[in-house]
This record gives sequence, C-alpha cells and structure tokens, in this order.
Amino acid sequence: MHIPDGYLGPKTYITMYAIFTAFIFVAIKKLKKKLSLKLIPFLGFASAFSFLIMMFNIPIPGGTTGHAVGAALAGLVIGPWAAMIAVSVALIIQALVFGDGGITAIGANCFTMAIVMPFIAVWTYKLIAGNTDNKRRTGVAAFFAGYVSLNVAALITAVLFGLQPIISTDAAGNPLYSPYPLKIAVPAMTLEHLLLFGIVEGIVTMVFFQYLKKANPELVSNK
Amino acid sequence: MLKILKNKWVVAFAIIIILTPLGIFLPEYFKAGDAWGEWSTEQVKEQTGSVPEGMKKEAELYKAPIADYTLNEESSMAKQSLYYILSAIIGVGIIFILSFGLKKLVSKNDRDPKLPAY
Repeated sequence: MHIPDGYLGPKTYITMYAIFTAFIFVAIKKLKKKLSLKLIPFLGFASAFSFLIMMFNIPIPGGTTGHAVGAALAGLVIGPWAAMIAVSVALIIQALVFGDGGITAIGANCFTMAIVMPFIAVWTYKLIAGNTDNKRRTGVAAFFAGYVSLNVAALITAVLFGLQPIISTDAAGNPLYSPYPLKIAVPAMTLEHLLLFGIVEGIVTMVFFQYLKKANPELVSNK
Repeated sequence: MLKILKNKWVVAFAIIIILTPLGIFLPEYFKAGDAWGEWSTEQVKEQTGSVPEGMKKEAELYKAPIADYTLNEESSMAKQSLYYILSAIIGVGIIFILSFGLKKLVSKNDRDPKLPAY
C-alpha cells in the first residue's frame, strides 16, 4: 500500500500533502495538551511496532505481496491522534531511508495508513465492543478494527491509483502517471485485502491488543 | 547488557526483529512478486508496453540510501536476511532516537513534575 514516486500526479500528491499536514497540525496541538512523559515510550513502541510489522511481507502464492500495518493496534492502544504521529514517523522513515513509498506520496501514504486506519479502527472497535470488558467481545471488536481499517485504507489507495488515468493525462489523453484505471485498481487492491491482508491485520490487532489489555490494563483504557 | 534483557519490551522487539527475514523468505518461497502498484518502471513497461512520461521523471526524483531494505538485491538469501535485519535495527534505532529527543523536549517544559519519569 506504499505508493511509490511516479504513480501520483502533482494534483493528487499536493492535495494529499495538504490534508496530511492539516491533520498532523491538529494532532500535535491535541498531544501538546496531554502528552505526558509516560506516553512517549508507548508512542515510540507503536511507531517501532508499525515499522517492523510492515516488514513482514505476506505472499499471495504466485501473485502479489502485502502486509499488516499495525496502525489499528496503535489507534486502539494510544488513541488515534497519537497513533497518527507514531505511524507517520514509521512511514516517513520508510520513504526517506528505504525507498518504501515515494517521497512525493508521503502525504497520500500517511493519509491512508496513519490517519484513516487508526480512526476507522477506533470507531469499529467502539461500535462492536461498546463499553463491555467481555474478553470475547473485545477480541472480536479488535479483529474487525484491524480488518475494516486496512480494507478502507486499501480502497482509498486504489481510488488514488485509479483516478490518475482520469485526471493526469497529456494532451492526447494518455496517462502521465499510474496507468491503471479504477476498474482494474479497485478490484485488485480490495480483493487481496478483503481475502488475506485484512485478516492478517485483524489477527495481529486482536492478539496484541488482548495481550496488552491484560498486561497493561491502565494503558488500554477507552480513548 | 543483562539488565537490558530483563526489559520485556526490549526482548519482544528483539524477537520481532530477528523474525523479519520471514518477510522476504515467504514471498520468495511462494513466488510472489511486489505489492500491487509498487512496481518499478521496468515492470510497468513489461505490463503495459510503455512507461508514462510523468512517471518516468517522477520515479527518478529520489534515491533512498538503503533502497528496498537491502544493499544488493542480487546477493544470497543469507546476506539478504542480514541486510533486512540491519534495516530493521536502523529503522527502530531512528525511532528510538526520535522518542528520546521528544522525551528530553517534553521533560524540559513539563508542566506536571509529579509524573514518573521513565
């Protein structure tokens, strides 16, 4: 889901940078108010966890690869605004140091994985778990927090890809950037995430969330 | 050194870092390629017959120092695993340094000195 350089035209990537900057600005403002020394190590852990979990490429035999992002777990544990910062840091390091995701696409990639994912995860979790502490229900809620959030992120990424041949063409109408239209990009990206990568994100979210809730109950409070 | 191993977070992250090469072994074993939409310009050319003009230029905008988490994509799996683990350590190391810096910054202007410092 890391869009490389060359796939998004300037119209798209500048817009995504603007949206990303606005969200980060709000996140920093919010965190300034309640950022305690106690939260900082967990901000770092969430960022490191997200960075590492994205290194575990999962193959579709004979096809493409994908991976979990860890942004749903981060959202559930440290809250969506802190998770936004944590996952963005991981994504920016991946782009700058490892060329995983383009530098022009940092805004877009941070929007889908660091902004959309933690929020969708927290909303999904609350919708399913409500105020219960029941282990089975919170487990199911955490699974779907991961599953749904990764799929929404994949869909948005696919739409960004698929818009390019429509909005970024030369005078003759040939695509200047990603050449794959919506009707190819959307089914390809959504299916693989619905059938495999989303399930992996769900399991990762559920397993680590249940563990952290048991080991650090004060950390995983309703945020 | 032994004391650091008593910290369960350090141990947990060390285990995850050591396991990261699974992320290159499994795709290799199952003959899976790149993620959808993360192809190089050469691969786009193979798939569609040409590379779009804008893509050609934009793709060359930036070269990452440790591109694709490796120093040499042609080297053996053992070496690739080593590069992958080193990449993981570098990534986590940068994040660690950043959080340490943030901690320093916050503790300097901390308004609530009652909080435990750790």
